[in-house]
Amino acid sequence: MRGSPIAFVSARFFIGRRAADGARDQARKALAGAVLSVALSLVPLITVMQVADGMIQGISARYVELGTYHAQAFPFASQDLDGAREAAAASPGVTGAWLETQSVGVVFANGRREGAAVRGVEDSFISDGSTAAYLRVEAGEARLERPYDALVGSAMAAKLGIAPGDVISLISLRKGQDGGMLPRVTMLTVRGLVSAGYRDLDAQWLFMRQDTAFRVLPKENARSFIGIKAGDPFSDPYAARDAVEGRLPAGFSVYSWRDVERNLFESLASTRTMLLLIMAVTVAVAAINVSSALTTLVLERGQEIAVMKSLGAGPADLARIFSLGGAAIGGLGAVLGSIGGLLVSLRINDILAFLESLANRWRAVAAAVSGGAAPEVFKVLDPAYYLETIPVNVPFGEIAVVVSATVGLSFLAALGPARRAAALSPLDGFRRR
Amino acid sequence: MNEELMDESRDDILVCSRVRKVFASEAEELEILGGVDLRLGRGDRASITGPSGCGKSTLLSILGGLDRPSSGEVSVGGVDLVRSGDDGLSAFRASVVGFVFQFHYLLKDFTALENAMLPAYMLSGDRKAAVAKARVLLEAVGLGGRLSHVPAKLSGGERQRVAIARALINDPAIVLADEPTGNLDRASAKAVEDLLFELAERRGTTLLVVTHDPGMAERASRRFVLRDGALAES
Repeated sequence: MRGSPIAFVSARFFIGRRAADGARDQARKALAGAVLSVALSLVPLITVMQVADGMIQGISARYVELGTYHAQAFPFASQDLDGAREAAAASPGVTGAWLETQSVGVVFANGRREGAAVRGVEDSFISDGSTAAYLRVEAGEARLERPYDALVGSAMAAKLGIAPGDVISLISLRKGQDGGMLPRVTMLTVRGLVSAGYRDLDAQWLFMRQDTAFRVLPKENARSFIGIKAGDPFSDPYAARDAVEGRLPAGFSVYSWRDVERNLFESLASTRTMLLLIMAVTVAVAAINVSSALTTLVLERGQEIAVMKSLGAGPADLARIFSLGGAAIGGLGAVLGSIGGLLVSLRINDILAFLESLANRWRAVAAAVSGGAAPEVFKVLDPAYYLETIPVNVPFGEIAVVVSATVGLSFLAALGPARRAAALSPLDGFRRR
Repeated sequence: MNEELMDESRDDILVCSRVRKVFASEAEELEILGGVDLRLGRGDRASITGPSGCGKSTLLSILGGLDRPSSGEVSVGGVDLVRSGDDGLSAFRASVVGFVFQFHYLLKDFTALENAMLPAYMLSGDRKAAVAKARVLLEAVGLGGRLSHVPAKLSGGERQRVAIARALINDPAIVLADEPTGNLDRASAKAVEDLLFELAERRGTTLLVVTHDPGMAERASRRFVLRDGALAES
């Protein structure tokens, strides 16, 4: 039998017409159930795929644009940081190069203290477009004009109870002449409160001027390097490193952000892969539903299969009708599931907010009824470890792969029932009612 | 197929020789057909009668390539049904033979037109031509106004007329009808019987009818009786 009659018969067998009483037979209900189960299994898969991609890219982008830069050049046998920065800035493709001095310290304010990752940066880094895109100013202004200006992460500021204009004490440790550790206190004025939208960073960052940091932070506990940005760090993670390679003075080593944050990135990517594998199991289970629905169809339509054979349809024709039908069920389910997954992931922030609001209302009512204390605000995602809002990326290429894989899986699942239909003897089929 | 059979069958559309059919179970062997010989020429209109359970339908299934004999030789339209593989039998059923069953066996999701055109569409892949041919045949069987009706919306007689149109659409060399009126009231049965014989005669199609109806059996130009596994022409 040729392709078009097979498609015609397949469509009638699988979609059919409603009976006079409006009812559909069991097999059709099972087929509709199989489409639904494939669709439902794909909704979480597509959602996780997109949300995980968005989260990974969102977190990575914040680390890369605000923390690691696209590449870092460390002096291992040179003190010529200014010369290296100028050489890096002049390299083709480089969009910015800045000096940074990092250390750790303890910040005191209002009788409270917090550990801080102290970052001495240049004011032009803070005002650069790629930085400003991810660094939200919560209060005050993001400027480091005066030598002892400071910008404080919003989460740390909340813990310390500080606001722009407040004076804070930064205590760092330096080695004394006798080998012991001596505290050094630096008074800084809070110029602004900033947020990366990622609480993990907002809770630890304290920005101050690089020249001041270089001068006041103990050399033995600080490190200085050149931060470099060039192009899109995700399409080519090594673009910035390659741009300055061989152009810096001798005694510098350059590392891409992928090398610097390899552990973080690999950990996020592994988590994503694990989640997708777990979700893929549900798709496999849905494919088994396709197989059982088709088996029901073959059993229920034995008589019609026999009629088809008596009209000249061969075993291969019947096998094609059912295997292609299985693939079509998988394809339809995959398309519906992908649309569902896209809709869910595009509204994921609203959905989470709705769930949080519902849960918080319920907890408040429960607390009021039981006479207990007002409960803490419930968050689906702990903001200490996740982005405040989840960025959504739509990986169309990956979705196409998932849809194709689902169609392939459904086709494979349909082969069993298809072989059963092909092998059915016409006389056995005629005996079925 | 042996040479003798081939030589003798040169002008015959159907030749079966020493056909046996045995159903074996663990407990016993049941011989339904015990060496049936039958020859039909082009344009013959034949009937087979016999008591219930004597093997009439089994013989018809073997002649239609729906079942295989336990032994013997069967050739229909020049096709050796004993040695043909599954694909060969499918091709035979598509182009050489047309079936009319006691139960209409129309596909319930297909309209009268679709049911009638399906064998032609399956064989040629040309939907337009198949539809045109089916339309002519359905008009010939008096169903020109019921083309878009599904089987559930047709009477028993109308369903059987669609089945006749379906059986004839590929211009088969032979039509095998198994109790084609057995499930119809008297008036419908007469109409279907007339239609079947008239169309077969007009188209020069060989017709072999298995029936319990003596009137229909008498209408055939050649009449056979199957009894105790043996076929005899009366």
